[in-house]
Amino acid sequence: MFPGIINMRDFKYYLDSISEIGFVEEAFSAIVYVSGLPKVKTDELVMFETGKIGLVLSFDSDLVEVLVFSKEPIGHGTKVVRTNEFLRVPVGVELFGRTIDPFGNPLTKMEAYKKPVELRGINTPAPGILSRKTINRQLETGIPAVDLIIPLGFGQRELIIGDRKTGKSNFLMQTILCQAKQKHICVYAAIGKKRLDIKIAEEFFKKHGVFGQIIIIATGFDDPIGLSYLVPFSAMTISEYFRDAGYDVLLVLDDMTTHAKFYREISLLGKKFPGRNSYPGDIFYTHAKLMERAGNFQTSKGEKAITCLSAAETIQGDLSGYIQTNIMSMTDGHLYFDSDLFAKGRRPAINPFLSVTRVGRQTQSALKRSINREIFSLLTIAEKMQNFSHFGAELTESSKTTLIVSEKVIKFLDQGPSTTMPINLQILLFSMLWSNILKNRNIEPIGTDIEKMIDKYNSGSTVKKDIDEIIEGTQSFNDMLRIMAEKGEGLLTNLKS
Amino acid sequence: MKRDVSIYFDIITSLKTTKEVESFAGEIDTLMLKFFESEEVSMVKMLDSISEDSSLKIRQVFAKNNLDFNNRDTVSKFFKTLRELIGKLKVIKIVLAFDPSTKTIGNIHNFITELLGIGYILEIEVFQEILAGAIVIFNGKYIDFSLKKRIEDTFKEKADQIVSAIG
Repeated sequence: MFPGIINMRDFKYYLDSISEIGFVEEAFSAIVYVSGLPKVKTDELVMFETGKIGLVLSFDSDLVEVLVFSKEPIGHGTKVVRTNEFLRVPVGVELFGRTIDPFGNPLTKMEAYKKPVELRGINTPAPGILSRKTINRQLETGIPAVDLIIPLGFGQRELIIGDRKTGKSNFLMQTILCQAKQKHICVYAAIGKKRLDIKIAEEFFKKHGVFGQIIIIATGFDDPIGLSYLVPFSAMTISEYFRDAGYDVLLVLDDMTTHAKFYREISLLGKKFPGRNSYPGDIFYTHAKLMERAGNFQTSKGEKAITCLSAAETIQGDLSGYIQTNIMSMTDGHLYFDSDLFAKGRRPAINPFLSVTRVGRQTQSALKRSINREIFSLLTIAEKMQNFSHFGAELTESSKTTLIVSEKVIKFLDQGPSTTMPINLQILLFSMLWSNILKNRNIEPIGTDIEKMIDKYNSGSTVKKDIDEIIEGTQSFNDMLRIMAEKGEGLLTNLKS
Repeated sequence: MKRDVSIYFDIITSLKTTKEVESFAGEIDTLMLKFFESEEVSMVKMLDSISEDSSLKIRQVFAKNNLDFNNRDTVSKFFKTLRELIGKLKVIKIVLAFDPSTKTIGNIHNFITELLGIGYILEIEVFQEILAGAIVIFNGKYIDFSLKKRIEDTFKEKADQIVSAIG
């Protein structure tokens, strides 16, 4: 039995039962060309006499192109058999709290892991328009800079874009943490990452006690390229399984530019005609067919969503890259991580002016929309004034006040790497900030004060109930400010107690 | 045009195995290389540099079809076409439990020629573990006619009977 895929028999079994044989004629790293196998089909699995398996990519009248999933080279003349099987991945609750490769094999040392017996096809078509529902529920990331300014919805596909080392992965970790805390299922696909980074992600989730809600599907940078190519497809298949089982799933693809590079390598080895930046012509199709599988769906278990956050790396802030713009056009918006803001110390370094959410705002209540407008308009005015002040012009008192307030708001939007703030608390604290209640309270956005307040809120005390009730019953930001003037001090004292 | 191909019939049918074809193709390549290197050396002399058997086959074809060794165009065309035809021969791989004699190979080849026509050669592999019979591999199809397979199938099908008979 092949250790990678369960239920696979040995070479001799397929040779005797299917009675077709092929021979490796040419081998180029992960791609081999095989003669014979007259009735082979695309996407069919083939087995080499060494027991390794491969995936049929294409064929012509003479040769079959096979993608190999092994590090060891396949020699010329090696025998190959068809299996009549298609690529399927194991799915099931056994995967929770596991770090696995795309075939469900453990990647890091794990206690007593039994691979699930249920299998799902990896290349299923995306559901049609009739089973899709409008995105109408907000997805909490626990980060005010996103939840209040560029909100995301369940079932939204959002691109997380930015230069390397600008905090993209950190943001994704925080979002997973927030969702896992809310008992949603999170699937993290780490494509061709450093093994140390995979381990760090695993330890991060374990440290916060949420790894039981998370599945990490990963490959290292030194793994076979065929395996890395499969990671997002395998992650999507697992996400679909849990969606059909009645859960909302957050799927994180980290990152798609790396995936595109792996696919480019496979295509070039497969002698496909190179297009722009040497990427093959079907790179858009490959990514689009994957992204299309995410969304908000009507299932037999009700309305369930696969929210897909896919990361993409830019080079020197260039948003017009080929793969980056491709994915932008497939997604429902993007969060841009600005290296300049990162250098200025903003965490997360999201640039709200270059970020887009196409469907996120429709999920917001009237109050949230009102706050969203207020923050956006303040930040826009502040940005203009900031530019104006650079000319050394004397500012009016109102301009100075705007700049001071915007500085406070920006400071409020800053956040520690493992802090996730519930959305109602974000609204409350922002309203307090706006009402000057936080003035001279020495409440830093990052630090023990905020952590204490979050803990107090999450502990399920009466404060949480009071806050939730206030926010639920408020329709506009002005009403909220009025309530803050009356009850703000009391609520703050309760939160800090 | 028909005459062009039919003149190679004797040579093609005389080639029975991949080893023979490889050796003969190598000799033709050597001849062609020498032929194009120098215009002064005659083809008749060049034929002395290859094996006697191959040389004889070529001489016979030239004699039988009144081809002129001194006409460079005729010689060039002859060898080019012959090389192309050899490249198009289809390989039938046969796995046997014993090393077959030349006569056995001839018999198998004749059988195939009668059955499928000309243009097929044999690749013989000896693998004693199949005990007897043969495994035929052609065009990606794999058919096991070995005794080993028969015995295995019998053991699978009649496992209960065999166990009870032994017990």
